[in-house]
Amino acid sequence: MIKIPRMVLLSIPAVIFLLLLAILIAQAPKKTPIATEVETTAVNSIIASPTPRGLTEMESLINDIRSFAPRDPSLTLPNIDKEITLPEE
Amino acid sequence: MGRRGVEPPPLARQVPKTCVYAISPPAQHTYFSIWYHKDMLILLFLISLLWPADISAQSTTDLYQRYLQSAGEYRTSYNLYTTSKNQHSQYKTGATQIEAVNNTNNVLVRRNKLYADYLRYLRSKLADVTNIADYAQTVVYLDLESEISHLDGLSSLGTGNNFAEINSASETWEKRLPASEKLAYATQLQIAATSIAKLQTRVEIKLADFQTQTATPSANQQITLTQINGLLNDVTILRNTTLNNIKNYKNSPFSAEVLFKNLDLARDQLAESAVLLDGLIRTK
Repeated sequence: MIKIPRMVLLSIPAVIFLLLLAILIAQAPKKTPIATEVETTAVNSIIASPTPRGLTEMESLINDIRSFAPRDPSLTLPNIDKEITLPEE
Repeated sequence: MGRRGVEPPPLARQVPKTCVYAISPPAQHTYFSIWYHKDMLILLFLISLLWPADISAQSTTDLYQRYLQSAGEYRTSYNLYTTSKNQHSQYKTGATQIEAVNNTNNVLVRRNKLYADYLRYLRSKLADVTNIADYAQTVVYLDLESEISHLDGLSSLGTGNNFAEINSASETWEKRLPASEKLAYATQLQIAATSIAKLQTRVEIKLADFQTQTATPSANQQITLTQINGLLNDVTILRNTTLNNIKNYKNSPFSAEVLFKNLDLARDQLAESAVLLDGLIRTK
């Protein structure tokens, strides 16, 4: 019978654990640092704002309502052929 | 036995010699026995408890990307299908027949995958927007689950050996499509109505703030407040009409076109009420 060193066998659980940990870390959602998010939001609000003072809450709300499309284009049914056939042989 | 050094240890002294081998000696666990790996198995079990259930769950954005990818694959396979179908109609050889069979099988699989990926994206969007908070939303969500499972389970699709088999498989798939499309429209309307309700809540919060701060509104303010409340009431009616029409979507016919127009109108009235409220807040 092949003899496997005891140390190698004992290290198997640790290796599996580290592997799973690595998978978990890789799967974790990549979050933008808060500071960058705040900066981005601030820059965007300046760009989108019609006035230097920025939008008021009500103006922002009105924009959100007006820009809302009940028929979301991304949700439209896919354009598929509903009659895929071959001619009679 | 006069010498203390050779005396057996106290425990062994209590056990009669005849009982020494009554208990079998410890088994020799080899590397290939499960018991040898018990520590590792326990560790894996503990990790499985800590493993997040939704580690494999994909975000709505990922699902949308996958849906777009499937749409591209479907388009490519559809072009191949039409080309080979036309070639076979023209030349009618054995080679063109095989090509037509293969390409048609392939397009049927791609079409099925595209539709399943679309429903997966739709289901995820529904969950994101509505949080599946009421009975009607739960029904639609579960119906989507069932429809996706059905489409995923169509393993025989794309295995037709001749034109008749392929046409039959395609026809069976297409027969189910109207009911599935109805489900998709009901889901879209649920999402849209819930989104409007959320916007309406934001307006109502601002309105409540204004009313709290203005204990005794002027006559003009009172007229505007009445107008705003009337508009908000109309928005609620339009939303509820839409939801009532799709409540029993499987058995009662509904026009998605009309219901989307209802929601367009609700959106416009909500915007009007928000503009009026903004005017009130500015002149306060």
